[in-house]
This record gives sequence, C-alpha cells and structure tokens, in this order.
Amino acid sequence: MNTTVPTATARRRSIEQGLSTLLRGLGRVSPPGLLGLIYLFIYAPLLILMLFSFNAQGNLAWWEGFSLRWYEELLSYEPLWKSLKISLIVTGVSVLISTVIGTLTAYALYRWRFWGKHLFESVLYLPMYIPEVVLGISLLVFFIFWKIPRGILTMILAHVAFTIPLVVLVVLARMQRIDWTLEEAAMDLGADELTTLRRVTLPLLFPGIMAAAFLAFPWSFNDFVITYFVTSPGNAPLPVLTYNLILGRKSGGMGMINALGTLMTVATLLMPLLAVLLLRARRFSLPGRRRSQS
Amino acid sequence: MPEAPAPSLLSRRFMNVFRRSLLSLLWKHPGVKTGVTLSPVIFWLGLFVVAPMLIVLYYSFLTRGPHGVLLPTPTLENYQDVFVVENLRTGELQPNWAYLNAFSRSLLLAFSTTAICLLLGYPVAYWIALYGGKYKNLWIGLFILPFWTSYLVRIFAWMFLLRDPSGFINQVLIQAGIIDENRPIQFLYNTTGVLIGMVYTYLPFAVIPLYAALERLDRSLLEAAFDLGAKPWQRLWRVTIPLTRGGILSGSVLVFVPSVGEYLIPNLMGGNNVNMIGNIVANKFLRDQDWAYGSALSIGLIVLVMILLWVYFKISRSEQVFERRI
Amino acid sequence: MNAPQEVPSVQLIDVTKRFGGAAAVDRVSLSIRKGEFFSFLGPSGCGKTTTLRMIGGLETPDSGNIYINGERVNDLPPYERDVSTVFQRLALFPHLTVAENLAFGLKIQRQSPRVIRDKVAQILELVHLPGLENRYPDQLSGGQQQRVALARSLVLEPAVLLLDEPLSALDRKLRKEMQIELRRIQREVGITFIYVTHDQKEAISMSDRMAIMKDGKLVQVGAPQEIFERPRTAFVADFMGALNLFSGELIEKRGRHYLKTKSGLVIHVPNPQEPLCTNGPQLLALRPEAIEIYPKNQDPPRQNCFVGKVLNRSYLGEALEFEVLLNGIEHVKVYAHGRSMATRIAIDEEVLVRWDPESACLLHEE
Repeated sequence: MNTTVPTATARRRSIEQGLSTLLRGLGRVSPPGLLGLIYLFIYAPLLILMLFSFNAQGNLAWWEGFSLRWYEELLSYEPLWKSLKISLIVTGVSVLISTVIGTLTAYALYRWRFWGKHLFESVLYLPMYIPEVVLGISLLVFFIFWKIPRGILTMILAHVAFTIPLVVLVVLARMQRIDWTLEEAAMDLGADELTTLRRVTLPLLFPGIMAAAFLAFPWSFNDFVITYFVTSPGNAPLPVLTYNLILGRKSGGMGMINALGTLMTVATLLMPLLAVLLLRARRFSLPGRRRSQS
Repeated sequence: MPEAPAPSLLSRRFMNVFRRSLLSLLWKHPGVKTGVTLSPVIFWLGLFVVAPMLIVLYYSFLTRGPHGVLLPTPTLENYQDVFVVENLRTGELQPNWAYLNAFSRSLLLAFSTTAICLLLGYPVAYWIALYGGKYKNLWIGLFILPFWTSYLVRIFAWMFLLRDPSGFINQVLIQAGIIDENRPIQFLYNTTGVLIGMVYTYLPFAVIPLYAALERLDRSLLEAAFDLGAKPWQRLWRVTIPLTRGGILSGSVLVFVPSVGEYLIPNLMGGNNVNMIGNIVANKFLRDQDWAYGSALSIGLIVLVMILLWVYFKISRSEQVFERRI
Repeated sequence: MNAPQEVPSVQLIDVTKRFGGAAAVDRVSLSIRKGEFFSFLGPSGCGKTTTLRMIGGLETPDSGNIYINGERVNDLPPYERDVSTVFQRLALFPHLTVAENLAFGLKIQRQSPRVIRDKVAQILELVHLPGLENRYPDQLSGGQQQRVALARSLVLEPAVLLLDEPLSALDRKLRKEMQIELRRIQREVGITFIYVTHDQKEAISMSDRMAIMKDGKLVQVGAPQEIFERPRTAFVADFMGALNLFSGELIEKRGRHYLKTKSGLVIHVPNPQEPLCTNGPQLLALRPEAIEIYPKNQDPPRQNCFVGKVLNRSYLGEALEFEVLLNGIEHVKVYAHGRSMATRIAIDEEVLVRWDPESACLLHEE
C-alpha cells in the first residue's frame, strides 16, 4: 500500500512533466513551425495550381517546361467570355439589389421594434443555414412549378435571396459602432427623416455598406451549387463553366482550369487591396474613438 | 412684378407639401415606416426562400405515380421510405440501408470535419490572438484571404494535388522513388479525399469565431493563472479553453451545419463513392426524376439542420449567461 | 417682475411617459419663463433627461401636453420644433468639419451661402473658437467640442436651448470654466436655457430656477437659494447636502417652537413662516457646516447646545468631518473649518455642538 501510492504519484508527475516539456517545446517552435505548416496547407494548393498553369503538359503535375499555351487556349475559348459576361451581369445586379434591400432591413432591425421580429429574424437568416443543395433544389422546383424559364433572371432572383442575409449582418455590425444620437441631433437641427437619412445616416453607414457589397460580390460570383440548379445549360456563369470543364473530357481541360483558376485567384486577391485603396481615398473619421458615456 | 411661378417651382412646392404630409403620417404611425422599409425583404425572401421550401414540403406529401408523375393524394410514404424499404422478394419491411448509410456518413463526415477544423484552427487562432502583436490583422487576413477565391478552383486545386497517378503528390513520390509508378496512393474518390476537401473549405469558419473569442480573452486572467502556479498545459485546459467555450461552440456550428449538407465536395472528390445526403437529394431530382422522394429527403435534411441549430441556440443561451457573468 | 399675461417659454401640463410599466416621468406640470436659465436636478434615472427629450420632441409623452411659446407641440417631430439640444455625448457629425457642423441646420433652412458664412463666423466668435472651421470634431479637445456643440445649436437661434448634462465628460477645472461660459453666453443671447444635471453645485451656481426630480416626479421647484435654504422634503434636503435629519414632535412654548426627539433632545426650531400643524412627527434638516463644534471645556452660547461624543473624525481637505453621537442615539455630521479649534478634538472626546436655530429647516412632507 505505502509503496504503490508514491509510484503512482511519481508516474503521474512524470507524465505531467513530459507533457509540459512537450508543450513548452511546441510553444517555442510553434509560431514559425506549426503555424507555417498550416499556412502552407492553405496556400500550397493554390500556389501549385498557379505554377502548373505555366506547365507545358496540362494533365500531369510534373514540370515539363514553361509555356503559355493554356492561357492562349483559355482566352480563345469562346464560352469563357460568354460565361464571364453572364457572371458579371448576375453578380453585379444581384449585389446592387441585395445591398439596397439588406441595408434597409438592417436599419429596420436595428432601429425599430416591431411585431414578429423574432420570427422575421429566423426567416431572414434561413438562406445562411439551409444546405445549399436544398435551397437550390427548392428554387429549381419553384421555377418549374411556375413555369419560369431558367436563365439570367432566375439566377439574379436566387443570388439576391442568398446574399441579403450577409449584407444584413455586415451592415448591422457597422450600425453597432455608430453613435445614434447623431440622428437625433440632425432631426433636432431641423432635418426631417429623409434629410437625416441622406445627410447623416447614409454617410455614416457608407463604409459598412461598401464592406457588405465587397463581401457579397465574391459570395455571389463564386457560388456554384445554387446557381447550378437555377440556370439553364445555355446560360453557364463562370463557376458552372469551371464545373463542366472539371467533369468534361475536353482535351487539355486541366491546363485550362489551371490557367482559369490562376486568373480568378489573382483577381480575387487583388479585390481586397482595391477595396482598401478605395476606402482610403475618402476621409471617414468615424466615432470609434468617441468617449462612450452612458 | 408679380409673375406666375414657373412650373418647376410649382411642382417643387407640391413635392414639399407631399413630402411633409407623408413624413408627418410616418411620424404618427411608426408601424407604416417599418412596413415600408421591410416590404422588399419580406417580398424577396418570402417568394424566393420560403415559398420554394413550402412547395418542396407540399411535394414531399404527394404519391408517386408511374413515370415520375405525382398524384395529388396525400401520403406519408415518402417519409417512411427514407427509413424502411420493402424487400422485393419477401415483401417484408427492412431498414433502407442505402439512405440510412448516407445519413450516418454525412453526420460522421461533418463531425470529423468539425473536430479536425477545431484542432487545426485553435492553435492558429491562439497564436495569432496572443502573439500576433501589431500584425494580428495581417495574419488573420492572410489566413482568410484564399477563401475568397472560387470554391470550385480551390477544390480543383486539391484534386490536382491528390489525383493518381498524375497528381502532384503522387508524382513527387513516384519521381523520388518512394512509391511504385504502378501503385500510386489513392487519395481521391474516397472518404479521405472528401474529408481533406471539407477541412480545407471550412477551416476559416472555425478560425474566425475562435480568434474572436481568444482576442476578447482578458490576458490578465492568463497571467493570474501563471501567477497561481498553473503549468502551461493546465492553464490551457483549465483557463483558456473554458473561457473560449463560446468561440468553440460557434466555430463548431459554423463548420458542422454546412458540412452536413455538403454537395459539391463529395460530388467532385468522392466520385459517387462517398455520397452524402446532399448528393442523394440532388440525384433524386436530377437523375431519377423522383421529386416526391427527393422532397421528403430535403425536408429531412432541413429538419436535421434545424434540430442542430435549436440545440446550439439552447446551449449558447446558457453560454451567454455564463459569459455575462465572467 | 414678469407681466402676468406673458406666455411661458415652455409649459408642461400633467406630462407622463412610461417605459414598459414604469413611469419614467409622472404627471409633471411646470412652466418655464422666457429667457430663464432653468435646471432639472436629480439622481440618474429620475426622469430629468426623459423630460428634456419630450420637450425636444425625441420622445412623445403618453399623456399630458407640452407647449412651447403657447403652441401645443405634442405631435410635432423634433425638426418642426423651435428648440435645439446640446446632447450629453455632443453628437457632432464626425464626417463633417466644424464649419459644416455649424452650417448643418442653416443649410436645411435653405439660407444663402453668404448668410451661412456670416452666421458661422459670428457664432464661432461668440463661443471663442475662431480659426477652427476646417477641423474635424475628433481633432478638437473636449472643451472645444463642447463649444462647437453649443454653437451648432445656438446658430439656429432657437426659442429654447436644451442641454443634457453637456459638461459631464469634462474634467473638473474645465467644467467650472464652461459653467461660467454658459452663463455668459446665455446672458448674451437671452434664449431660454433648460439644463439637466445631477450635480447640485452646478445647478445652484448656474440656474435662475431649478426643479428637483425624483422617481419621475417633481419634488420641488424654485430659486436655488430657496431650495438650498428651505428644502421641502428629506430627499431634497439630503440631495442639497443637508445631511442631518432629526425626527420628533413639535411643541410650542411661550411662542417659540421646539422639536422634541425620541431620544429626548429638545431642539429649538426656526419660527415657521406658515402655520404648522403641530401633531404628528416632524423632520428637521440641518447642514453639517452649520453646526459649530467645541471641546467640552469651552463655553459657547448655551442656547441650542448639546453634549455629544465624537465617534469618528476624517480629514476632507477643506474641512474636518466629525461624526458625533448625541444622547446616545442621534448621529450628527459636523463639518468644521480646518483652522478652528476643532482640529484639537480627537475621537472619543466629549464635545459640545450647537447651531443657530435659523440655520435648521423644518420639512413639509415625508
């Protein structure tokens, strides 16, 4: 009895010590080490894809020499341009509409109490948590049910529906940082509701609205699943075209997707940079620093 | 000299009167204001989210006729078929393993994805939040950035790495002489491939809430733990993790909910060998033209997600009480 | 004296506002004269800010009427009322410069650019802020922001200016300065100022008249001196710093009034101005600084003088605070000047305390 207890304790202690040495060791090497591995996990696939878009051999992931032939093939591929046009139309129109509707909704949600607010909120965020396939299929069934021909219009209808919740969330986040006394101050100084909206509320919300649009843009542009179900074969936006290329047995398809992926990735990575530059260009000193007196 | 007011002035005056009366109406009846503001969203979501789902719900109760025709006789058969199927030879009812397997596979894959995402995401969020210094935002931005690129391109990038034998990893291993050219490792078109794809896709969904929770964490609590003699791993287990429960919980839900209804990743990286519920739903509609059955499955998937969210909200409410207390 | 027919600048009649079930403002009736500096004073949550917001049109009363210059304004939105507010959080538009902030209301009134420029220049002069036109609010100091907020409201020349604890964010020294500034500006422009504060010293030093509020009700309205010297209730007495309360029965002897406490003290009370009802318990309020304290061996005037024991003594900087026990029951707070002989008094010592009967005040209610 007397001898087992110390050994058990000793064993536990040695395990603890081992664990803590391990963790301390990990802690020391980790920031460059483990963190690097995870960043590698994130970036490597895209970097390799970009690298091999310049490979002479399209289907093989082994370097066979530098070539721009996939870019040439891709850019001369007629359907690409049509798809790009469709994608830009659908996304542009949808983001515009959903930004307007989402901002109005966020405003009502943040500023007013109304009957059925809880129910309304749970329906509002439905598109965010209903599985995309289900939403896509429901819309497909809906459009067939009403005999609405699928195409650009149906894509826009669907894209607006699933980008609204995102816009609402982003704009609401911005609203939480605004000093709403400013609205009262404007009315107090003689501005009616519409003038207050135009002169005070919108300028203050502007960065949030822009951020919402910038987030909604790739959300809509890159959406595949819902889009796939609500479009017709003749109206394939870029993601659907990519999907068809991936599945298709088109010769040299792989190389073309590598090239397309590279171009799209570069374009996406440039977007936030552009956004930052745009927002820097105008001065918006916002009341983040303002004293928060209750 | 008196002059008739120009028409533009007249109409402007009229507009002013109109605007005044409109605004005073709104001022006295705030409900009208709310209604006007919310009508576009109610219209849009009602028509293009709620109504389609109601139609699917309606279809799920219809009787299947021959050649995919739907008969307007209400039935619960479609729902029953999700669970049991009639044995064609004996006429006995037996569990419908094809679909029950898809359900359990979906749950299992979603669960594994969530666990791996948390395990990978926590250290990342931890280091960025605590040791990121002034470059915190840059680090977290770099982490999230690739996820703004196309979903399809990212999946394709992984397929390019994983394919056999022409994929990048297999090629490297073959050229290095580690594996035989004729016996490449199969990563794709099995559960491993799907899991890799899902972890890669949903990792930021875990990292963002974890990072937010760790950022909020009061550093002095960690110092206090050290001060009271806690060893690093004790501190992690007893202080840091319990205090970031909220972030862990939201991260789990944000990964689990979309994973369980995933369609594209098993479709492309599973190659029909790893069907999840989403794939079966799509197949029922697109391939088999079996709308009633597909609708019942869709409703089943929605209910599954709703239950998960309901549990989440129950827990997070008590969690909020906890967070307010600390 | 004001002419009796003069229309009050702001008049409230039975105004009530509820939030949920509780009445934030409960049947408040009040009239405020033209050109007056009027303060609402009370602890936080007493309804003073809500009252102010109802006058400004930012809240609508549930019942009762609000008149501004004789016109009923209950249903008018804030932008149609001839009042302007200086908010507690100032609410300067962060996306506009100082000049644009000041011009905001004028532009809405469609004034010509020339008029706007002149008025802005003039008002900046008035608040002593010339040369800052092109700064943004976050580039100004707290005191400067304060002045801009004030100027932005004043430039519209409203009939009434409402100020909702505008100085609470400033440090003590700056606050003192701004109080004087506010009075000066008010005298110069002659507009009715309605000021909300929880700081009794601020209200006393600035107001022509003030109203004390508690739990949504008006407790007492009057000139600062009147309220300070003759609080009506224990609450007002306490709020105005008359921290000592004696309760007992009123008795009359040979034309003089005394309060007999339960512990047996017989305190000489001031001669009442109005007839007193002598039955029932009465309260007497007394300011700590009105009490004189002497060591036992001294020989002060014997009238209204009591023996006590020092329980506690603390140094407050400008004064010494003693807690004295009279007759074994009554606790009394005494402030003595740091230079008096009180400095020699120690804890547990027996002392004599006395005060001039006229410095105490009989309360009317509670």
